[in-house]
Amino acid sequence: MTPAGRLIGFAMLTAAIAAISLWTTRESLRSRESPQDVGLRWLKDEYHLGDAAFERVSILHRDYFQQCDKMCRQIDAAGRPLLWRSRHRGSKTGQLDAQFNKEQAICADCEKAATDHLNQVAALMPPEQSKRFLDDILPILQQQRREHDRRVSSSIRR
Amino acid sequence: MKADDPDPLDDLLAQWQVQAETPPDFRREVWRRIASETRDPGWVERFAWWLLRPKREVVILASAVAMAVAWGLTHPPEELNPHDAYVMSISPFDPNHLEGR
Repeated sequence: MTPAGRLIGFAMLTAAIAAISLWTTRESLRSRESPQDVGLRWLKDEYHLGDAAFERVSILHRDYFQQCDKMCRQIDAAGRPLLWRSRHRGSKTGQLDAQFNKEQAICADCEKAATDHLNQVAALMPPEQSKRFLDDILPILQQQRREHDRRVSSSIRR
Repeated sequence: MKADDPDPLDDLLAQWQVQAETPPDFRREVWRRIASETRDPGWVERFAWWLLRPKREVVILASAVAMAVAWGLTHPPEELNPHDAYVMSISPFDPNHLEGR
């Protein structure tokens, strides 16, 4: 091997070992908590939930999360043909409308289920905390729904 | 000619002795000629020759690992914002909902 080749090889080996060391170090510092656990811990601290209320919120959340996961997949499956331009380029307008209406119906069900869940959680909080909680989270949920609809609509108009 | 017929040249070659004497500076002259044919090493060769010694390689690799670990310790991965984590876990419209399970 030429000296230049040996130098390049050594530089690449050094960079690879440094990258592995950096990745390993950062991964060892990463929190092992799931977003669900982080979120629930925040909810308990932010809205001063007692142990009993928190236990009930956790059960509600666990049940709802499975439902939410399912809804997410349904939205994903219904929205994919609409977001994937090449799929619907050749589609007829009638087919597209039917797909869009189906997707919107699923989204409406999902939004209602999420809103119901938030109201159930809020009902376990003291009144002033309950209002603050709904004022914080509901507008975000509605905003995300609007953004989702905008993405789907703009994809159809292309 | 058959393969086992002796070649008359064989005996003659066996008796032949070289009488010539090598000149006193023969070896030096050989090396001088070799050196005159070899080009001077460039800076890459000289640098590679200087750098790529086992001890220096070990020191460089150890320094790279130490610097990478120090950088990783001082730049830990961003923690998920707890508020965003809650929204991600309850909103089916959150783009990261399924990834953040």
